[in-house]
Amino acid sequence: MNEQEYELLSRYLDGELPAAEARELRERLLAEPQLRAELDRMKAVNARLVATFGSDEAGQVPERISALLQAPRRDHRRAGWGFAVAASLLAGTGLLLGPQLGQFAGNDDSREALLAGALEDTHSSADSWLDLADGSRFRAVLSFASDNGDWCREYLLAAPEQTLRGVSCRRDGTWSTVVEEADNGLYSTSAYRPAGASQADNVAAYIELHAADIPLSRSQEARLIASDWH
Amino acid sequence: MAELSGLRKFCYSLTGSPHDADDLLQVTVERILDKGMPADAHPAKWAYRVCKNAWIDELRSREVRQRYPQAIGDGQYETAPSAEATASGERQISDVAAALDQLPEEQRLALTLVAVDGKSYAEAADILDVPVGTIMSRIARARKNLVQYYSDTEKR
Repeated sequence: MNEQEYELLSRYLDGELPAAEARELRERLLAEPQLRAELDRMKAVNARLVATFGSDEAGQVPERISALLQAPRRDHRRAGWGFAVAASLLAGTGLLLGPQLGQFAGNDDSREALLAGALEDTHSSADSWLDLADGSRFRAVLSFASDNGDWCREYLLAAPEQTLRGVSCRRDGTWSTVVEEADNGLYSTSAYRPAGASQADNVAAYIELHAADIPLSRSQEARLIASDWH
Repeated sequence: MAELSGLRKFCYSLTGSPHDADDLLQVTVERILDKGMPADAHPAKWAYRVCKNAWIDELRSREVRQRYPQAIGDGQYETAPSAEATASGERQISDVAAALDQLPEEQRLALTLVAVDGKSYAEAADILDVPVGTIMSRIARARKNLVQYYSDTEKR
């Protein structure tokens, strides 16, 4: 057998062959015993791999490692970003914490309106800022579903005097900030910040407490923005 | 536990040892928590990529790769299987691990992600940062090598 035939059989085994090619291959397998025998050998190898490393026992995670994801690492992790990975890894485990009421941090109406407008339409980004009318700059960090069914977004709001990090949630068409605090890790427009630069512990804690699932992917978020978060 | 459990299986198939798998998983989780990730990265795929890099770092630090012989005596399971099951399980791990050990690391990574962990070719390509076509050929070559290995073993 040549390399192409091995690749063909391998793709067939993995369900990666388009339907028409798979059909042609099945016809060949009926007519070519040698090809069929090779496929059987490949299947046997696959079965050994799965039986050995794909078992439930192979997927058992020691408690000490699960605990790493549950324990707050406020001095060592980046708010929001660490959450994204931890939440993803813990998804479906019931390890994310249950509901708890958040705090409302009031702001003046004009700033709240500017912020709401930015939250409604701006895609999350690692490095770009949106200039707001009051001279501050806005960046959406991530979006997630909260445990009460609202859509929430973590954001940064940079003004000359300080940078704020917060979470705002959307209910009945209105964005309300549920937690916000000074972010002492100064954000540049392009620099990749070192781990631990953020001091926004309350924001990270809020997200850990209230996120119902992993953060939205870029495409999920784009669809929500396009549909006005419905 | 789906992703973390899948990541543990990935670690196990790379290391061939439950003890080493736990260590690799722990290193992976600690790296992720300590260093964070780009905001536009897919968290689960990023985790696999970090794990792969941690494993490659580990391999580079080992002058002699003697993972599997050690694993047979040192396996640390969370539960205690019967002696018969343990012996049988260890033989199976030993056989399959020895077969996997014959593969170039890039073939082993690609095959493990798809065959054991159930990733699509596109997902594996994303995690390993190579084109899908490269994943196809690496997996096909890995299988060809494994079939050949078992055929040679049976003849002995």
